[in-house]
Amino acid sequence: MGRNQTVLKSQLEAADRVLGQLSEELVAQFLGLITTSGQTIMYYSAAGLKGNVDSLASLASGSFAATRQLTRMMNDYDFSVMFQEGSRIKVYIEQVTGDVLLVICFGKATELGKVRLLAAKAARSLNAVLRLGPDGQPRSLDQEPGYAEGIRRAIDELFDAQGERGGTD
Amino acid sequence: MALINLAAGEINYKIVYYGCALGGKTTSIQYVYRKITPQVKGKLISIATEEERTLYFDFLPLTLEKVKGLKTRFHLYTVPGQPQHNASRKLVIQGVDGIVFVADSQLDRLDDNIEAYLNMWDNLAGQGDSHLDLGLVMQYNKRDLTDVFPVRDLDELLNQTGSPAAESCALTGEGVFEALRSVTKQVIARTAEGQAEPSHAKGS
Repeated sequence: MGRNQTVLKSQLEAADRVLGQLSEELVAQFLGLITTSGQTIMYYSAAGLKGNVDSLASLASGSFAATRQLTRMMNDYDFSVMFQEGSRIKVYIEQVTGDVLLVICFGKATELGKVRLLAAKAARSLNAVLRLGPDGQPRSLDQEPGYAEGIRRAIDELFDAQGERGGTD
Repeated sequence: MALINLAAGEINYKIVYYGCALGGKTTSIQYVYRKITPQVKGKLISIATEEERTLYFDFLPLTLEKVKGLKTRFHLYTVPGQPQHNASRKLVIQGVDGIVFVADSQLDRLDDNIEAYLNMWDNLAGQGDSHLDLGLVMQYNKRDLTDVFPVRDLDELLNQTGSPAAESCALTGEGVFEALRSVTKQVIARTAEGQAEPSHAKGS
């Protein structure tokens, strides 16, 4: 964990504008920005996925990473787009930066060509605003007084509630 | 590599259960899913074979209450333990913040444990220097069985970083939350304070 990723408010606002426009242009069931390690940055969902967005991000990043590794085995190192077609839902994933993926889930009403075109355009815009910086950004967690102690207490309360006390640290 | 989303008020950590095949990684995460407060847990996802052997990973998100306006989330993953799935293990540990190394305490699993432990460090080294500040806890599993190594021997044989250790029986859940508590506190300490808790000193 040598390098944390920090998303700033200005980045999120700019990304939101791009995703919002993409959401209007595509009739997508899900539009989201996730990290390559499977964490959700932001999303638009019309499919009632709210409770499962973490799962979706985890599976999408895992699927993308596995396919990318497969293409590398065949000496193709330029893998940046993945498309999967189901009977009702199609999934399109495009790499935005080295750390960030754009995930679009859409149905029959949306043409793949339109998704490819607009996703590529959005990815370029997002790339410009969403290059995640390392720690040391203007506001970091060590400037959040009480956070570490508070979350440690929350962890203790959570696990104590499961009937296990004590610990090794 | 924690994802700190200040705009959304969220911090996301990735915790991975690592270890040899049939050592208790999936059983541990399943126990957490069954027993933890419902309000905290998300959906448990498993990509497994028909024989319920982990093929790619298991995934369980936990979301803690807001502290200082920040929501803290732990994403728990397991890796597939079988040797042939090393490519998948490399992918799952990308961006990992903390590892629970689940060792099978049985006498006849020592070679498998050592191979998995060395494989873990090999795969972490492949990620560059990101593993140098990793949270790590040793979970010595299957302590309910009779033909097992003493914990002191396991510590000497496996725990080369002197990380905190917990004895467990994943089937009954004993020690599972203890290990999870330890690793979550370590990753919090590293992100929030910019320095480590004493993960390189053996726990009591």
